[in-house]
Amino acid sequence: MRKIKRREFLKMASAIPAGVVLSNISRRVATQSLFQNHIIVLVLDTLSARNMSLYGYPRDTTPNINRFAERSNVYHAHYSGGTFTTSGTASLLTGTYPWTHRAINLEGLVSRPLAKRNIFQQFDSHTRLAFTQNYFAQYLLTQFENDIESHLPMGAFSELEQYVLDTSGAKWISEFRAVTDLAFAQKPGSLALGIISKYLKAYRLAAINTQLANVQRYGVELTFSIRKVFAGLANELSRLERPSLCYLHLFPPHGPYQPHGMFNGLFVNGWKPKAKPRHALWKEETSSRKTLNDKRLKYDQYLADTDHAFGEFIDQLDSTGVLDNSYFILTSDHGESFERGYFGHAGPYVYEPSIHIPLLISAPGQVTRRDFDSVTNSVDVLPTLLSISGREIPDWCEGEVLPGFGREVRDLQTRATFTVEAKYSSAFGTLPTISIAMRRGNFKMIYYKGYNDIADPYYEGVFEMYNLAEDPEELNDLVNVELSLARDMKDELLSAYDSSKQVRPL
Amino acid sequence: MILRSSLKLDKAYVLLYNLQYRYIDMIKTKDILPVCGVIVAVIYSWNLYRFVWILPSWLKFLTVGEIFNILSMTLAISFLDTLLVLGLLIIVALIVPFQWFRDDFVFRGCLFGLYVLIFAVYLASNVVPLNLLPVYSMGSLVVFIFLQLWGGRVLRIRSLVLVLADRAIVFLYVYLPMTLVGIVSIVLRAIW
Repeated sequence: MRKIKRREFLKMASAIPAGVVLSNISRRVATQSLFQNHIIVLVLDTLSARNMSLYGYPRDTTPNINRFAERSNVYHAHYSGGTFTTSGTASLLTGTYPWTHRAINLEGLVSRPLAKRNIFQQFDSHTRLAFTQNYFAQYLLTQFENDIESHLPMGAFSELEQYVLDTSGAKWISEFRAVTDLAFAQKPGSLALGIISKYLKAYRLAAINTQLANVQRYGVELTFSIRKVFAGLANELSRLERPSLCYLHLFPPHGPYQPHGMFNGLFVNGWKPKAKPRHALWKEETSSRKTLNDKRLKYDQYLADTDHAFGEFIDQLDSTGVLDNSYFILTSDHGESFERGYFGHAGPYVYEPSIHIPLLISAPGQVTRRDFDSVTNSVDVLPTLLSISGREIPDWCEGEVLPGFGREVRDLQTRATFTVEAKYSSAFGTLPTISIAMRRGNFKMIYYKGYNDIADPYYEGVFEMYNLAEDPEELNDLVNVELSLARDMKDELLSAYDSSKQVRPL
Repeated sequence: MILRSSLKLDKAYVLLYNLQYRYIDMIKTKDILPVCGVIVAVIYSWNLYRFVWILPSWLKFLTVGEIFNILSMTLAISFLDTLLVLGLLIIVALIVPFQWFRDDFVFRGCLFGLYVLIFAVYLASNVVPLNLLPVYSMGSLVVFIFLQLWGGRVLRIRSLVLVLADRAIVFLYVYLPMTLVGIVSIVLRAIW
């Protein structure tokens, strides 16, 4: 046997680390190249799980989503990262909580140093398509523009689109914001061109108003038929090259609620939700119980209408074979409240209707339903998608892989997830005015802080705690009953909040 | 025959003289400047007010360069607005009889400019439905005509408007060079 010389040994030894690295890379590349499925993320804006029959709502609002659930993983305790479009969507797209990404204000953006950490950038070898009808979400997609190959205009498949400057393909985000936020907004900075544009839009809308039936209108800018939009998207998806990542964010059932045809008369059977006392925090924003119930009825009807269109969409995808090759994710960016005197989702509340959202994931060829009760959050979607496509999950991701796609269910039982509402705070600082909902196991801790200046002095720093297994309507505050557990959860919540104060990207 | 043709020539001469008088010598630059100053003051101030109002949210997400670009765009749009309103004002001055407008251009021009722009600020700040727009416009026009007729006769109001218009010229010296810089930066960015 030939004796190995010292020099040869050193050469071989130096090649070992390179070999290890190369083998890791080749394994990753091999896994990724094996993954040839589409990933389709469909966000229906303002879809509250609490109003879906899929999650036990008494009105049959979502028969088609129920049908889709029969071939999906259904997550029963899924929460949004934020309480409105900007923060909720940013959490979904970045896998981080609002106190990290800092898209916490209306029309806000992800903090500049973190903007590269987004879902599109992570799937850089996929064909990436994005479409949204929501203005706030469009801002975020514009921020990720360089990582999106096909960014459809907001008015795609619509009857009338009157945005002054759409961002798809926009070279400079600053121009877009200058023109849309400032000069030609609803409160225009331009006193001549802006006003002319404002009333020209209103005139054009009025001109087509009488000609169109069964359409959805969002301001003067966007008029569309949800069925036509779904049909257009189905057509677009059927032509996509595999593998692809598609982010589709549709406006319905966001207000104003516009049910059409047979959906207009649905659910008029006298059923009323459980009455809840008015919350004291946001006194000036209260609505009467009758108003809330009327709005809830309209929302439910609109949801049923949207669900029907979704059913047709799924059937189209099924018939073209898209679903056979796709991971299809149905979720939302936040919920909607019709209780405690509060209507909408722009306020400080983090009760279940505002933050409990649906999550259904259908894998290619899946024919059975699987239900998961573990607590999950929007931030979990990105790491899950990375995991199923064989990619590494980056350190900055704050979510976990969802049960059913890796982790054992018991791992997530003791984990805490957060929903953060801080639109009244500056994105620069330590978020002094904030609402946090922390869910851990069956318990949910709510923390209202800093509202003493803008709302009720009592809410300088108030905790509430609920056992959602026994009290799903959040009526029995246990913060002064389960003292030991409350103290423990308070500590965990405050610790997370304190850590967020260290995140000051500027 | 000769008489008739000379009459025709006279008429043509009068028409040409009137045209020249109306369209060329009608409004002097020194009269336009204060009116332009008032228009610039309102349009630019409103647009910059809106800019400053949104600025804090931009500071977080945009670089100084991008914010400068937005400011450049804002100034350019304001400049276009100014040209539009001033153009409208001059066209009105051309159309209506001299004694209604041209002969007292600074006072009436300033009032007209202020009327148009204050009404525009109202429309920008409030939601006035399209079907009610003619009602609001007519209502504000009545107030404007009253101010024109009544204000023109009250010496104090008249002198107040003229003094303000005279002072407003300073805004031209502030805003127009800024606009020039902004437009140059937009052009340069478009080239590179």
